[in-house]
Amino acid sequence: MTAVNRRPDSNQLMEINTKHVQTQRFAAANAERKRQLDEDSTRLLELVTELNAELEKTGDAEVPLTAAGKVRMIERLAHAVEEKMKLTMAAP
Amino acid sequence: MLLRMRRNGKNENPPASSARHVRGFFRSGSVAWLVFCAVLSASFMLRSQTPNPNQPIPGPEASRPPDANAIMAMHEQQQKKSKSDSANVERKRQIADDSARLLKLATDLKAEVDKTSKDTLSLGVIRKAEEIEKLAHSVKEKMKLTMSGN
Repeated sequence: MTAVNRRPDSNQLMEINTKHVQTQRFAAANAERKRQLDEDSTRLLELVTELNAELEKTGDAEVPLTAAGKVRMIERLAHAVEEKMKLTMAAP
Repeated sequence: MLLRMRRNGKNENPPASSARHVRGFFRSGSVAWLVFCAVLSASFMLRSQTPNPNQPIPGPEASRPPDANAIMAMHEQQQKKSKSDSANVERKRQIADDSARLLKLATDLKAEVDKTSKDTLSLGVIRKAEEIEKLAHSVKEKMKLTMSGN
């Protein structure tokens, strides 16, 4: 039996298994993160569109409180998108 | 009266004389009525002109024209108000501009996120999200200033 077709011992098997599980976990985490990124960017675009419409509607009148709330939400969502994208990583 | 008429031998018409008397009476009655109305309205006018004891009597300073300091303070206040008004108008214009820019950035970000796969780390997305965050923060601050100014 050569080293090539030798069956892996139990330690090697454990290592392979661990690597496989880790890869699966990374893939699942990345998929979940991508789903969240899609959701966040969609919501962000919705909010910005609503804000724009609201500001156009009010014109020179007072800035409505709802617009301030939307801007705060946009800021938070943009920060979340940035952080989630930074966390995306390749499986080991 | 009849005796006097007979004595004078005049042929006066008695019903016409009584009508004159009645007219005279009414004339004197209407005069009395007019006098009564005039007195009544005069008393009302006097009552309205008399000061209300509950109302404070304005002092002489109320009618006094403002001195130089007061005029200066008034002018400063007016200038401050007009300055803050123009600043608010400018801020609102900036908010509208920033919001339009936010819309463009958010559209670009969405397109870029849609393009990436689950294993891609997109620097473009990170940069755009950072820019949106900064812009939203500046809009928020401008809105705060506009609201507190009003």
